Order: sequence, then C-alpha cells, then structure tokens
Amino acid sequence: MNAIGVVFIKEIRVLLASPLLYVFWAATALVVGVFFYLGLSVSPEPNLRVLTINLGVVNVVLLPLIAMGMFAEEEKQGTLEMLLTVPGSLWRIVMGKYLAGMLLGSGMLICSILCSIVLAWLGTPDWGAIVIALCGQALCLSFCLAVSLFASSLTREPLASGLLAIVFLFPFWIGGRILEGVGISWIQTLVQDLSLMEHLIPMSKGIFDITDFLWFVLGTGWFLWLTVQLLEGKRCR
Amino acid sequence: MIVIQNLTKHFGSVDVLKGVHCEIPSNQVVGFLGVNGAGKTTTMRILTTALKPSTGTALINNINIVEEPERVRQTIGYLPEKPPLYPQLKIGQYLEFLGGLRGVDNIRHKIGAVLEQVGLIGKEDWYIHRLSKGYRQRLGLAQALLHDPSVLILDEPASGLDPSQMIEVRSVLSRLAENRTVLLSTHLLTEAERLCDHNILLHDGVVATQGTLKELGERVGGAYFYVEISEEDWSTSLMTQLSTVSSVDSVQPLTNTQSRTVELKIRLSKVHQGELLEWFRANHISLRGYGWKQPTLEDIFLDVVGVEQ
Repeated sequence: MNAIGVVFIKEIRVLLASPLLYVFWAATALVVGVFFYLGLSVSPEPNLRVLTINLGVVNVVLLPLIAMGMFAEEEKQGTLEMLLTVPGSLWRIVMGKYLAGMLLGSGMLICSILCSIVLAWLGTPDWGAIVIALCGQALCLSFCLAVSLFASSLTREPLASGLLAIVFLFPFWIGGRILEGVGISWIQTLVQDLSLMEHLIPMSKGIFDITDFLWFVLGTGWFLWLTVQLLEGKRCR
Repeated sequence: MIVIQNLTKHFGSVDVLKGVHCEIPSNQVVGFLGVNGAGKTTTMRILTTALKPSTGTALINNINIVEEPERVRQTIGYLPEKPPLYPQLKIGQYLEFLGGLRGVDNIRHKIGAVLEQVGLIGKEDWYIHRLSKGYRQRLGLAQALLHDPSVLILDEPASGLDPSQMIEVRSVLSRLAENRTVLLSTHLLTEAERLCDHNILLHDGVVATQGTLKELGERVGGAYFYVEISEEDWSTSLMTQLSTVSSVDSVQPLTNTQSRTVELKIRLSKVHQGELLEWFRANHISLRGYGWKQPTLEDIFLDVVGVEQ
C-alpha cells in the first residue's frame, strides 16, 4: 500500500476512536433531517435546494470538529515531529488525512442521498438538479475540510484550531453580504467572487457552472498547498 | 561516524548551542550527558533534522544534515523523550502505519523482528493506551528500529522507568549497539556508566569534555584517595588542617546524610598514603573506611560542571 493509503487508514482508525466523530454524525443527521423537512415545507418542488444551502453552514460550523485534531493533536501528543522526520513528501500525509476526512465527513452526503430517495418516493424530482446539488455539497465539504486542515496545522491545541477554522470559514460563508450598502462595486464583486455561498447557491438550484466547480477545486487545492507549506516550515525551523 | 561541526542554535535571543563540536565513533553506545538546558535534546533534534542549526552542521555517515536532510532521515531512527505513540491504535497497527510511511519492504516480517528485539513479540493486538510506561518506551524503540537505521538517537530512553524496566532497556540497547551507533542522552550517570562506551559531556551549549570513562577519569586527575569519617569529626577547620599535610594537594568533602558520614576526596601528591593515615591517627579521628577510587562519571560530571550545579 502506498503512503497516502497508510495515512488514510491510520487516520480513519484514529477518528473512529474519537467520540467527536459520532457527535458530528449525529448532529449532521439531525440537521439534514430538519432542513430537508423545512425545504419540503417551503418549496412545492421536490429538490435539495434548501438542504444544500444550509449544509454549507453546517460544514462551516461542524466540520472543524472532526478536522481540528488532525494536525493539532499530532503536535500535542508529540507524533508530528515523528511524521516530519520520515523521509518523503509531506503531500502524502496531508492527502491521506484529507481523504480520511472526506470519507468520514461524507456522512452528510449519505443523509442527502437518503433524502433524494425520499423525494423520489414523494414525487418526480429532477435527477440532474439533484446530482448537481449533491456535487455542490461534496465540493463544499472538500473546501471546508481543506480550510480546517490548514487551521489544524497552525496550532497545537485542537479546540483553538477548530475555532480558527470557523473564523477562517466565516467570511467565505457570509461573503458579499458583509459589504452590502458599501458603494464600491469592484470590492463588492471581488468579495462576492470569493464567497462560498455565491458558488454553492447555483449548484443547489441544479445549475452547473464550471467557474463554481473550479472555485471549489482551486480553493481546496490552495488550502491543502498552504498546509503542506506550513508543515514544511515546521520541518526545518 | 557522526561528525558535529560548530553547531549553534538560538531561539530568539537565547543561545542554546554555542558551538558544539565533536566526533561520535561508529557502532558504539555514546552518552550525551549534561544538566537540564545544556543542549542535549536540541543537538539530538538537529541531528534528526527536526530542527535546523543556526550555524554549523553535522555529517552522519558522511551525509550533511543541512544539505541532504532527506538522506539523513533514511539513516536515523529517533526516539524522543516522550515516545511518539497513537493511544487509539494497536501495537501492530501503529508499526504497520510507520513501516508503510517509511516504505519498509516485507513489513509483517520486519514488525515481528523488531518486536522480538524489544521484547514485545506476541503483543501486536495490544492497544497502546493500555501499555505500561516501560512497554511504551519499548514500542517507541521499535518504531525507531523499523527501517533498520544505522544510527539510533534516543532522548532519555530510561526516563521514568523502574529498576527492572531499566535493566531490560539496558540489555536491549546493548544488543542494538552491536551493529549500529546508538546515541543517547540521560540524566542517570550510573546508567551511562554501565551502558556507554563513549561519553560526551555538554555544558552551557558546548562540549565540556568527551571520551571513554577511563579517558575522562584521567582528565580529572585519575584515581583519588578517599577517607570516610563520621559527621561529628567533620568541621571546616579540618579541611584547613588537612591541607597542611605535605602529601595532600586538595580535599573535597561529600556528605552522606543517610550514613551520617563525610567522605573526603583527597588528591595526594605521592601515591603513598601512609603520612595521611598517620595524621588522622595522631589527631584521634577514627576512619570508617579508606582506599583508592577510580573517578566515576558523577565525579567527572561534578568536576566539569561544578559542585554548585
């Protein structure tokens, strides 16, 4: 097995032993259930629009729970130094942890897929729109996880890194709304372009735009790259 | 062989290493000794490439740690003072993870071999969080050995162990040094005396002295004569009187509070101690014991670092 796979399996084992993962799963299931019900009550059409938008918020608040210890805990218990003195690229460690986080964080996607099955039972949903909404949820999960991993590599205190992740993700969530009323249009456009919700909302409606897709992919890549750079800095400080 | 060349390291305005320079011979157990803050751990962490030196460098088997850290990482095994373990994993899972990360071939066989070396064979399914401190130390040692490094760097491997665990770790380390260089730091001078072929004494960020126990002993004057007297017979004026004896060069008292005695470490100008013993008899001071002693690491340590330490 390659090094990414080895880190992935180890991370899954460590996370499965953590009660926080089960808190995350339970909270996610509850939130998905509530927003799915609310979505059905406000919209006569069978879609995942309300659920997808609100899961973006869940990602911002709850995902740091499972990612906060990924590097902070390693540093706290003294294992990070061991990982950093293993020969080879640090991308292997970051990618292994990221993929493990994606797998365990995708509990909300599974709940959303179950909701789609319920939609099919209740009516005739637009499957194209549902698949795009699910893609949006996965991309949002990926981006928030990458930011949380970066925050986790900044400090040795898992709780502090969780809070940092929320602080980092918050501006991406509120985005353009923060500058409503400010008359400078180019700043508003820039902030809106950087806003997570601006790119998630079209996908929640079933509209696929390559720029939205690229925003999430590049954003994820950027924060994973930053994490690797930060760890490289710790490797030879 | 490890060659350390003028290594310095400063954290902010604090100079932790001020020019460490020494050579560490191959296939020996080498002790890094010194008080807290002497720079032992910092030097070791620089050798493992976990830290970068401010200036200077080191060559491990002719590989420069600053220029080729990746190659150095393949050469060394490192056990920090607190073994780097994941309490959630089982012993086997932990070693599989590290072996996979290091790209060790035939990992199952290798795990069996290192577990046998450290005396943990048959315990692969034990959870790490349930291990005693001694077992954790052994597992830490196993992870450092997994990729068969030619240099093993151990920071306080006997720290916190009870006497029986210490004996076990000592025998493991002696076996390991048969075909690799083992560099260890310790506060326990008696342990270093039993275990280390070569000792490097660090003090205030520099190498104060280094060599085999015999060489170090000779450097502080070689064998000395000791007399043991009761606390009642001891006084500071005795020291002054003793120094007037022609064969006495210097006197250093060491109090043993348990036996309520004072041991006088006396450097004689002549090998013959008759005049000194005659002086004690003439002054009606009864001796609990006397004789010649080779300096221990503790004597050497006190001589180099100073009694006030």
